[in-house]
Amino acid sequence: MRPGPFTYLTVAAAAAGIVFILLPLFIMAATAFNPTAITFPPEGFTLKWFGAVLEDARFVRAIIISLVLAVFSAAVSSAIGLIVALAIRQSKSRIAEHLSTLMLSPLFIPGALLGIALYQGANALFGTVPLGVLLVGHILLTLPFPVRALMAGLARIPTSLEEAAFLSGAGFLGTVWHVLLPQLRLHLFAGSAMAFTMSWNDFDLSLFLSGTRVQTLPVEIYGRLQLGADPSITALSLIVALVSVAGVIILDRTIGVAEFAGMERQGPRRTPGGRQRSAPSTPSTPSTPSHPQPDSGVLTP
Amino acid sequence: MYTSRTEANGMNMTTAQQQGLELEGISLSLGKGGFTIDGLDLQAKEGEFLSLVGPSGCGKSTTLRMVAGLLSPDSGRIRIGGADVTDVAPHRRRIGFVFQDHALWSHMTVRRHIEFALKYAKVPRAQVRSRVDEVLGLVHLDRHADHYPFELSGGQRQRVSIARALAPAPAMLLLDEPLSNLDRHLREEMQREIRAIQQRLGTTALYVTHDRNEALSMSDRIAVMQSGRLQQIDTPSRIYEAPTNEYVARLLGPINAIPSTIISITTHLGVRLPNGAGISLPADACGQPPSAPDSQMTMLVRPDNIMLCDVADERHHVAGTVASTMYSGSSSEYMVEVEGMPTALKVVEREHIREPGSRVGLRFDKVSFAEEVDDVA
Amino acid sequence: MSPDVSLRTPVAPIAPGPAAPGSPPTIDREQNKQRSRQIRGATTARRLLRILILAAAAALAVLLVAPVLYMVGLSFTTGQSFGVDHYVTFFTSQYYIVGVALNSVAMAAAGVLVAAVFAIPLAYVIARVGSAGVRRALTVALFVPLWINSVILMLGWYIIVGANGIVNQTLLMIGLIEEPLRILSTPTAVVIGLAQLAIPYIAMPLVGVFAAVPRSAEEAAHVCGASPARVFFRITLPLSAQGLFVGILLSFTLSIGALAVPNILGGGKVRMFSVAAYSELTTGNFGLASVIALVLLLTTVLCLSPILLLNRRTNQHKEH
Repeated sequence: MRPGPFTYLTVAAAAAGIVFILLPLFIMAATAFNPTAITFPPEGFTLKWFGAVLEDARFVRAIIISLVLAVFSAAVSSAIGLIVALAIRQSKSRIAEHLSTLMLSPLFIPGALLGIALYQGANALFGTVPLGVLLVGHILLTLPFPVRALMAGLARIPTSLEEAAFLSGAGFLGTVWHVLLPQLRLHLFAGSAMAFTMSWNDFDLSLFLSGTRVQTLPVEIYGRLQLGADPSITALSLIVALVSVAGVIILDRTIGVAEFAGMERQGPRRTPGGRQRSAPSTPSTPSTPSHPQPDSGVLTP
Repeated sequence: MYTSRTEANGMNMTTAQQQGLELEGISLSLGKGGFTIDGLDLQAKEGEFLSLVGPSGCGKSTTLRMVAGLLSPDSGRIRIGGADVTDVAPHRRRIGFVFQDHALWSHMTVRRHIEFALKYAKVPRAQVRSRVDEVLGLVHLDRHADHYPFELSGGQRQRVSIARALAPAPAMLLLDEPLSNLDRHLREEMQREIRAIQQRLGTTALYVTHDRNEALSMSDRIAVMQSGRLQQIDTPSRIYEAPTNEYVARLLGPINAIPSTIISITTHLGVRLPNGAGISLPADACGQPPSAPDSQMTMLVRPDNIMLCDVADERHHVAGTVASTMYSGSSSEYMVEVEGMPTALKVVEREHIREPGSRVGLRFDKVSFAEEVDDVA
Repeated sequence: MSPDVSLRTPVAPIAPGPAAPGSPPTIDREQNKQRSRQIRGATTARRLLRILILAAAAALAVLLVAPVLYMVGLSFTTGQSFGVDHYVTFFTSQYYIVGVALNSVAMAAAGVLVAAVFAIPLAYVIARVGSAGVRRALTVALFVPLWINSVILMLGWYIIVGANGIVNQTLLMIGLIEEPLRILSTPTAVVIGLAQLAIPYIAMPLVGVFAAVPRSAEEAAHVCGASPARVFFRITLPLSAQGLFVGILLSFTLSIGALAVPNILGGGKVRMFSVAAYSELTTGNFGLASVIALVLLLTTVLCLSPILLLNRRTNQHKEH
């Protein structure tokens, strides 16, 4: 088919869309090297701001806090997610169904709402907002991702595999350890990676639950912005962004971003980047969540 | 209304003798592992039902899509009803296309499908209603006009697809394996219906299929393709009885391929068989006669064109032993081993009277000759 | 007992043993015991899981629901007594109803609309593009902003639309304007920021939806005489309507509660739900903050309910 005007228009709009969403990233990255101020185009090239970041105690503390929170939340929510996903698979009761909906709710509830609720609750109980509440908030926020990833992963494993293991003599724990977990490795990784990133990037929730001493990175950046901007902010932001971009690239190499987000139509799965998947190609009978519906994509944040 | 399509289309007739479809020098190369179509020439007469037959990947669907305009050839011209459409976009070519997966629109009723087709064919609004009723009557779907695709059976859906293609009285009807997804009985019924409709309307039709029986039963002519090349184009009976090469022969049915040497070509053909026997065949029994004497050619004989008789009967050409029999109700198939021949011959007979191990005489009633090839795909 | 040995050892002896007539054949007791242990083990594990589910459900209920209930309580508290003062303040004051609630809805709607203009073609291109390499590149490009902190992204826009930003610089250079445009702290900037966040949310599920529309359906319309534009608007879009609807609704819901965008690009002057709640909290006005939060929650749930209903309906369809 020869391309007509409509085709050109569509491609132009698509290109504009890509430019639109990536523009702030590039601009901000460029200003991090600007010796004078946060403007674009840069008037020079310098790396001094990165040094300034590392020397700023508050920045460093924020980095550490965010890192610790992210790792911790990812670990805890992955563990909880695994248990919940397994439990939901075993019992098909209504409670399980509602539980899964509940677990996935932080995806649709604005983070700010969660923050406000927890803030009020913590204030009522403790009079202040201890670090623990911030952690709990992050865990709640990140919970949906391992849960959904693992549920999707488990849905792809036909029950016959478990039954075979069971009949061979493995107990329940044995089946989980030897049969299910190896199949779920990718999903577990994806879910944890997603949880990590969501915690690392969160602003809405953290703004409410951060104290004067305990601030996550995004909150710290925001605070600095309020006080007057100097390019150390953009340098810091660039570092933060690079971590996330690295995460996306790793994800794409291992799992393939498209499948991850439920963008693929139902059909044979493609192997991304030439890597073989560890999961077997199961028959398409289980209605996998990669059916085109936004909230049932595997891991739409 | 449906009798004179060319008038309805307002097409310009550029040549006095008008072909329904003309492909001239069509070339297309599909990179990366795809084959190349190089200089393809094909004509279909006005109102003709032409089948494009071949195995998967031979280029038949590609050719069809080029006629539709969904693919552009690298070079060559395409003419439909005499008008050059090579540079015309698909939605302006006035063709009807029936897809293999029927391609219905789940958000529209049957009636809306037809109305859609008529609207973009710029049929005047006053006529739309009557045309919808007429074409739905043609495919026997009048009672389903307000149903949605999910309420219809597979066969009914395909009929909607056909009705949608025919409603605007196109210059040409293109069908891409429309019946492959239907079960056998439905397929046979639909074959008869499609053919009947096409004949009634007199629309030129290009029909792609991999099913040889479908092609043989429905077509005015069959075009066999392999790896992007046209192997033979002929009427069904001629292409069946007189295939030009072993590939075409095998495509259309079981065939015996016997390497032989041509001894003489006169009113009778003298042929020496691999076992040394020399036989004489009347010239009119040869579909594709050999070109020159002293040449090695492959003799192609259909199993139903080998007659079995008593060994004592003098009319047989060679004698052999029945190795195995297979009864299939309306006929019996025998594998007969002849001394000196490289492979057993497959013979098909109506009666089931030969026993394995019995000696029989074989007579070749109709044969065809093809160039010897080392490798037949 | 290893499976190998147990395979070769028949459960019952082949030759009748010295058992009394009428008694059951000798069964390997060891094997039986082990099997029972396994079955019991599985059942215990299952019971444990069931308890865990209930525990998790309870924990979540406490963590999520209790604070909300607490907030409900707070919203009715004025000073020492109960009253609906806060609700009255919220619903009667134009500052809140229009300034916050309606403004949030308007901003979110505008942001999602702008996003859709870009996201729909983008999703279509990704779904239909032939080269797998291009598709992957576009998908990754679409994904990246999702995984990057909204504060950072808004920082970028802050730089772009600021008084010294590129937009103004370019316009000044071309000579279209004489003084820098004030874009920051205006609704325009907020809409831009919201669109930035919404585009991936709309585009990503839409890709799957578009990919599910069979190409032959589009080709059939094309061959029938519809131009590519008509094919898209009359065939492709209607067939994708449900997925599009859900994606847009989802983005809308998340946009209403946005915090970073109005804070950074709106300078705190463009009031939306979360911004208002934050400022009330910092001034100690817990009651009013709770009201705002609850109205936000209600609006969110209201916006999400069509999606849940649609989901339930399509799931029922599948079962039939």
